[in-house]
Amino acid sequence: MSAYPSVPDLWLGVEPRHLATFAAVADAGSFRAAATSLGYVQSAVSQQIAQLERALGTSLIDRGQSNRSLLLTPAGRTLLAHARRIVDQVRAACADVAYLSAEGLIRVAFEPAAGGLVPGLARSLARAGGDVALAVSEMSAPDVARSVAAGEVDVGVGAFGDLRDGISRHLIRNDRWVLVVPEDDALVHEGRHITHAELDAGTLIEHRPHPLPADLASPREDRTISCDRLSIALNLVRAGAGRAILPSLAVPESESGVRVLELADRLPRRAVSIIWLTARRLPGQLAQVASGYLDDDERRSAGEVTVAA
Amino acid sequence: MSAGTPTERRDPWLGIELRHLAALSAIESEGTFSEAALSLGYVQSAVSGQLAMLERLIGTRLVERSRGPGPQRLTAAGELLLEHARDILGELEAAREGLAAAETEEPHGLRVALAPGLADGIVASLLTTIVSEGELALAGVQSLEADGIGRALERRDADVAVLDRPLVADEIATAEITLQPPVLVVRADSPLSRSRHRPTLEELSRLPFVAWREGRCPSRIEHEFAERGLTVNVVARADSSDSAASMVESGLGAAVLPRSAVPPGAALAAVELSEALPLRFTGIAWLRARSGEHVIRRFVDLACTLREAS
Repeated sequence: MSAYPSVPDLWLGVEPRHLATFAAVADAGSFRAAATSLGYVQSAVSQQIAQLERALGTSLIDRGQSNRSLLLTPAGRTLLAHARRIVDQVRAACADVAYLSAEGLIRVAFEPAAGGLVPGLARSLARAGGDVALAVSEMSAPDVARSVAAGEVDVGVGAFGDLRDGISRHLIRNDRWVLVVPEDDALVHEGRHITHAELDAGTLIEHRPHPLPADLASPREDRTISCDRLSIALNLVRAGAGRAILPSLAVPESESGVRVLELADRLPRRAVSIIWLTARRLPGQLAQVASGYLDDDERRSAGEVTVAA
Repeated sequence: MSAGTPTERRDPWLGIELRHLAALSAIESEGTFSEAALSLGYVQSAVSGQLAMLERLIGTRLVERSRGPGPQRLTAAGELLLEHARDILGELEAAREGLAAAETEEPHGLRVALAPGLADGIVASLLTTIVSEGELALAGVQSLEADGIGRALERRDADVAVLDRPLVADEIATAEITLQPPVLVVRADSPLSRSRHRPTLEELSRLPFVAWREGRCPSRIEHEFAERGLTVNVVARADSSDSAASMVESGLGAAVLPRSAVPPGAALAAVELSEALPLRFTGIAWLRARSGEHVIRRFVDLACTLREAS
């Protein structure tokens, strides 16, 4: 016997693509929907599942209820967790090799509010040595998470809710929500924290990529202007069209024509994290460098930000 | 290339096969293509071919291919990929163990879902039967909204369900246990309990009435009143027949409940009604696909003995 790991006999004829198809079927709930998401024809999907079941000698999908969404057998449910990890690992392997070949080009996806952290990230990577260049793309936090999971970007930064297994996160900021008003707004001279009730009378400008916590967002649809770009939201505030509640990271300190006020009522903080596919090897190190720097940065601006427990 | 290899336009990683990774691993540990081929039981050209395919899919060179003597060396990309390959093969092994363990796993205890409107008496005797027979371990009992029961069975969050009304779905099998006519429940000291007269719904509509909690279970008895053009004077709403009975006991009003929901004892009396009201259904349900499973069969058998007993 040689020392290298061998392919267990059980897996003869089973390939990563079969497992990817199986995971897609489990996620999509039907062969047809899985075929669409994978770009296969439906018969290819059924064929791959049949092949997998034959190789493993057990049925994975309960075909008893063909008219509803598919159900996994107990063996299917056991396999699913492993299949997801294997698919992640194969994807991560390709992304890692691509990263190595790109010679220091790090693909980073940010949610808009976290854009202000990009220069700090670039500095910290430069200090850590090596020729690094950032390829930055801006997208909503859910899209950031999807791109990271698909291996399309190396690291992502944003405030994420629950992330699926296989994605690691490191908290870098516990960002608060602030009130952004025109500089001639009457509230500016109050010199105190502003309650939500005081905002009821005016128009609220909502920045869609950073949806407000649910308790604040609901009852005021008629007096809300929704926009998808941060610069437009800030311009609307500047022009006196309304007030905005934004993550404090989204509002540069030097932003002219607007004032940033604190809110009296506590809103849940936004846990801004750096995320990467756990199975990736290189970006894990990158993430550590990045988060190390951002922590330093945070200590320097002490008083302004609180680190989460 | 085997059949089913994805076309070029898809993600290249979908084309990666385990033997490609095994070939890379063997080249690294054996040092030469011929030794690697020997250890894998292939001819040398097969190993070279698999490596070439892997390099094409990954898009970069993985082995240096030195001409001189000495072992073949992996490139940095090759080393990186090999680390991943070991993780992947390790995970495959873990999956194999997981599947083997799942096969020999002890069957878990029975998880029972209960509909909201069930008479507690029925549930108690059913569960007591299950436990006292000793054959089935009871792992959990869960009260669910009526529309959540089918889903719980399908997702196997519950193995079986006890129903308060028929459930119609292709993939669900049901059996009926009892069909009891409902009775009027009043305090034992109420004049109604001593009267020989069977009250009509019209008479009931003048009583303070304890009904089901709104929105939880559409109240069938209220529907019956409405059909007869009667308005019922609801003074309280209960979310189980148990709490309805205790509300009656506390003197809030009267209720219409299945006879089995009337707790034994002197405090409450069950009075037959003069009009035929829809029969109370109690039944059990399970996923049709699981009909063959031992725990399901055994539960159905036990539930049916209960039917004969009542």
